[in-house]
Amino acid sequence: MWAFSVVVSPRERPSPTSGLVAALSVLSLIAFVVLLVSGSVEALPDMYIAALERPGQVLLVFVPVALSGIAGALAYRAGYWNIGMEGQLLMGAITCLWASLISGSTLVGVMAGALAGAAWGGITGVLRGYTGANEAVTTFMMNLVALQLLYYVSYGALRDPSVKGFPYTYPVPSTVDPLAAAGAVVALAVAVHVLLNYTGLGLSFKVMGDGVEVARYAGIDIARTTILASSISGTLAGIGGALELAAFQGFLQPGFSPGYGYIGIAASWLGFLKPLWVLASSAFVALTYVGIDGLRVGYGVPTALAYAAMGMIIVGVLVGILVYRYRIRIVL
Amino acid sequence: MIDLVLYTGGPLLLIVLGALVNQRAGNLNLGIEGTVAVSATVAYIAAYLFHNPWAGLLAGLAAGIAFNMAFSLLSVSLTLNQIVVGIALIFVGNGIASIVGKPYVGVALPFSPPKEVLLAAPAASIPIMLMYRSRIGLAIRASGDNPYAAELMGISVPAVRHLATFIEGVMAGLGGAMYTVLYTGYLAEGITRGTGILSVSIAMLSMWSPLAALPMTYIFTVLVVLPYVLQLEVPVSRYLLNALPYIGVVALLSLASALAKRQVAPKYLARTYRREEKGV
Repeated sequence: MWAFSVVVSPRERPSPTSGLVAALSVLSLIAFVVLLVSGSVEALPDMYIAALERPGQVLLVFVPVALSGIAGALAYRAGYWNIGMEGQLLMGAITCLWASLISGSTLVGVMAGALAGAAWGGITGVLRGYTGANEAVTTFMMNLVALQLLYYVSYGALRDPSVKGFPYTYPVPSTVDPLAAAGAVVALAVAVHVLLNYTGLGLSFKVMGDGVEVARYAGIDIARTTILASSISGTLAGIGGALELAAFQGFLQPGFSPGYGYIGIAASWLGFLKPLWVLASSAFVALTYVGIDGLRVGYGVPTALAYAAMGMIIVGVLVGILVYRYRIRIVL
Repeated sequence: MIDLVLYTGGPLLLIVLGALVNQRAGNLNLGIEGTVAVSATVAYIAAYLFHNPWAGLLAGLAAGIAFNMAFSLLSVSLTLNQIVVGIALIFVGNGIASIVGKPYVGVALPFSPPKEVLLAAPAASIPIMLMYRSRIGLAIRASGDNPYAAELMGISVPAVRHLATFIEGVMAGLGGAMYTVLYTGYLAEGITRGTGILSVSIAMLSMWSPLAALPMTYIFTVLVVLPYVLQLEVPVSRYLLNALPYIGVVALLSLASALAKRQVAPKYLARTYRREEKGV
């Protein structure tokens, strides 16, 4: 039926050069697309210069993306396909606003946001653990539910009537210093790094990620471990949303997140699912995102290009990892 | 209300059947979300440019096949993780759809959409059901249930998985095209948001049976349509009502997964097949 077949076989020794070459060629593909859409060679350097000129904006994207990325890294290492960081992040932000308005303290709000993320992520974990419902589907559905809740509070429940003409909510009572928020992200990345590499729980996550059969044989309680992975992952994303609100945006509106949770998925793979690397990859992803957004003004490049680029980055990294470990031959 | 359900459910049914076939072969393609977005956009543009709904459907079909094949190219030929490839394709598909579609957002079609065609959508389940009973259907199911045994039977699992992705591309491409060209009659940014993943879920809820997919799709369409009808009657926020179908999927999927004591899911769903590795 097919005139050729592709044979993928393990290498005797991993090949860093092939991996690097594959990843670089995909990155150049992105560069090529940026050039094609913008129609100008200067667009590429301009993109990153524009991003560096807006450090506040980069930080605003970095914080939720990095926390979603770390959340994803933890979940994926445990073999739990959480793609619900976007929803967990939104629930973190909504709950943060609500709790801080009631208590009058933004800090209480951030903590409530963390709990909301844990709960929102934990629901799908419990369902996975006890019924086996596919989490790649349920977490995505929970994103769509959370988005509707964001609309609900922005257009109705928490809308600030003093802002005329815009669906903006009441602002948080006080704001958090953006640098403190970034510091919290770094601290959480270190914490997850320690959790994954130096604790028994981290080990059981990784064993489960290698295969459920193996984990069961090793005496790991699959349901319990899945629930823990999902709720810790949700907590991280929830904090991401709460900090985005408390340190950067100050209030909610329907466009609060242009998909930070989804961009975080790109960051987690680009960071090889390692929390500390995810910090670096999130910085790169945030620069690229803000950069492409900047091209909109000067070159008329649509923001959607940033999303297409994120998708290509994920594929690029996967192909890079594949050819690092495997030899690919085309057999005619 | 009934005609609204029948109109809305038509495109969805095709996409569900496509997802169902691909999952049966062991391919869990979340990227179908991107396929639907791309084909809906391309179809609308073609229908607008050629002043013809059929040109739109044809273009959407072609775009759907082309985009969907990226999934099996990456996950079958290159053996990359299906879920991650799917997520990446959601990004790329939504990106392409919104870049390409931008100039046409808010531009009206030069004809009124022939909605009646949507009523014929259930007929699309006939070839799928027939195929299910055929040798090809058997090969597809074998590739999803036990690819290693299938290979021993002389079935080329990669070829079958490519074929299933192709069929999914046909169905999702047509469904996406029907959505904008025949159903909405306008284009908006993210107009098909959630449709692809909703279809992936409905295929699972139907326990991968094309026969069950028919009622299941229309049941969910009722949930999708309900908010628009209810918001006129009940003093509940439109946004809370909009969340109903998604909550319904989560609840029903959990219920179905818990009840299905017998393993009905394709055993190798979302699992990469590498010839060199021995099966468990």
